[in-house]
Amino acid sequence: MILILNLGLYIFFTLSLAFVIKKIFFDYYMKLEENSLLPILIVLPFSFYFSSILYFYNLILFENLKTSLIFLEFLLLISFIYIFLKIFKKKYKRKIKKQNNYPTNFLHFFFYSLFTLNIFIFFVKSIRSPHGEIDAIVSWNRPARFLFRDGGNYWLNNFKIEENFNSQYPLYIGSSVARNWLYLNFETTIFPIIFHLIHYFSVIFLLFYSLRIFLKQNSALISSIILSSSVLFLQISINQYADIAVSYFILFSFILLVCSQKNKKLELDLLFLVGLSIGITGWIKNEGLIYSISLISSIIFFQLLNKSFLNKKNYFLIIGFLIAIIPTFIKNIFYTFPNIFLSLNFKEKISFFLNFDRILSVFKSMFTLFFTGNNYIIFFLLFLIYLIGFKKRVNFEILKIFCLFFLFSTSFIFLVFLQMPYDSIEGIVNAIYPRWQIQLLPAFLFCIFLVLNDKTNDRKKRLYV
Amino acid sequence: MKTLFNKLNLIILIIMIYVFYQFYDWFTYSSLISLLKERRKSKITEIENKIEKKNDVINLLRIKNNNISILEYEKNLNKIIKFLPDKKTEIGYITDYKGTNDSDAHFMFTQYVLSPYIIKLSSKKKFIIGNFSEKIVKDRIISKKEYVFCEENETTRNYNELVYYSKANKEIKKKFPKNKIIIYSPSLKRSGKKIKKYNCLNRKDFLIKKEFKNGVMLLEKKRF
Repeated sequence: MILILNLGLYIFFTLSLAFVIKKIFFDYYMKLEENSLLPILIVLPFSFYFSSILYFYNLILFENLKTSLIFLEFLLLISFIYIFLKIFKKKYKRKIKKQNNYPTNFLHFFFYSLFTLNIFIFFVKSIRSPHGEIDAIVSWNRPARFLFRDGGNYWLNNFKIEENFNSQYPLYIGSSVARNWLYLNFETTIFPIIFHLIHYFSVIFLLFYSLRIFLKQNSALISSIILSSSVLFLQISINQYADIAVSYFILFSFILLVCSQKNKKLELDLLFLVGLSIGITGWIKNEGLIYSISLISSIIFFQLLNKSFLNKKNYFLIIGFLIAIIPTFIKNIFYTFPNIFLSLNFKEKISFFLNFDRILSVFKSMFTLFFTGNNYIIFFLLFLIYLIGFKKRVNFEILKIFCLFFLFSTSFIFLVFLQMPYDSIEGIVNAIYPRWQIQLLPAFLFCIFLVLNDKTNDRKKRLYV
Repeated sequence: MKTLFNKLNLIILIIMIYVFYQFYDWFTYSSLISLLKERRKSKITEIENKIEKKNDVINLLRIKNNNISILEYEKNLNKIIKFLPDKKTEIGYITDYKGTNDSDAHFMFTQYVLSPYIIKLSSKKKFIIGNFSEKIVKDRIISKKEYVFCEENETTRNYNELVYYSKANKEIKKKFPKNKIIIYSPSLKRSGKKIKKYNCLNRKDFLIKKEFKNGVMLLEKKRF
């Protein structure tokens, strides 16, 4: 009985927060009428983010974890409801017309069949490895045990263990899992499995849902089928790695960016949310900070071309980002950790950066993996782009921002690889780079499908031109 | 005919081929599929021999993926917890597993299971978890002190001190008889150009405080 009550309380807080966030994002900023459970499930990662930072602050500030957490969660929910009531004045809803013809029905059938198969594979493989693969065990699920066990009294031990355990990693997954265990009063591997399944589900349906707003349903379905067909994307999710969560927030940032271009009245709010959304990636993985800086730089770069650097837009974007990285900042500054990447001194780092053989081998590995790492998806996409063709009158700005974002982030990642303290750097690149590449795949699909021809020739009917 | 071969249909067809290719490729290396194939083969043989066995589906799914099963680790190491000191005390870890990926996994699983205890790759602690191969357990190598114990003599690590494990291993093996088992502390393989320096002793005292299944022992150092 107590277990059901605890679980009920957990589900209540998580879903009601997601419900309010859904109301803010979809009903207010995207002006969509959708009263199903689907959009609530799509925004669940945002609910996880806010709850996870709350758990982290709670761990720092209070001793009686559960009571204070329930109190804090209640306050958080009230404050979100207040924000919602404050901004939600008018109803600007629009319905998305459902297409009912042969190709759409067939694509629907194919998409849902593929998705069902993926969910089946997900569960079968998760039963076989309920703790996830070794990286997930070491870097993501292990911190959850430090945060939860013994009432969180020894969570600081997390920063004293051997450097192989990547204690420097952020705590989005760790604190989300620990929060669930705290409500249940016991550890279970079922929650991390469901947690990663929700993220997998959310990314695919977010892509489908967002493209459906701007384009015909067929284009949204095709892009979602391509994402669902990525075996590496599925495998990373099954392995319980954090990359899918990163890809979710990158995709959301680009969706909000497009919304900001479409809705000039709410542009500043939306740019604030772009900064917030991309900043959240820094609380999931360290490379999230690279993505945040890359995206902000890309947006500012295009505004510089329009000679408007010191304007409100950039301030809102940067403020959103700064708010999102507060927990990451607190963790990294106040809780020191052994970090193998910081084991080199400045002189050694410079010698690594100037080593031509090393530069060449990292470049070669990254270049090869870019084309082969995700099972030739690049060639397939190029062929598809050629086949479909671009729209006649099209706004390439988002695609340009994505390309610049890709260029900046890849350059940063290249520098990170160069200074890694390993001799056989190719092995490290081969292990990590495909995962970094997959983090950008949903956002890339979103950006490219926006400019592809969806046969909506009537300019008025098109929402993204 | 014209509508059948329009552009959209062609795109749908290409996407379907791509999806099937992706999953076919994945199925060929999927351990679950190969496991099912093996089961099917063995089942055919069994039917041929007129011996039928019913296989539980869940058991088939639960067959361990890697050489080391985390579930077994959890079961074994949970028994050790009541013998450990308080959680502020650091606990050492030694092993005779050589520098392979498996030996990394052994240590990582130990830390994972015993969290929030701090497990260090060191023998310089009062309590030490020993994680040994079958031979050590079977021949009672620890209690008979029939091992060579090699301990790294450098504590700080930076790039220049990283270990090239196999070279160090060969050098140590030259000095000691071949039949002796070498236990390293720390055990992990690291890449790098320099050979790590080890201090090796023929007789080093480790008191077995408690022995558990699968080569796991809790050791105590007499002089600490």
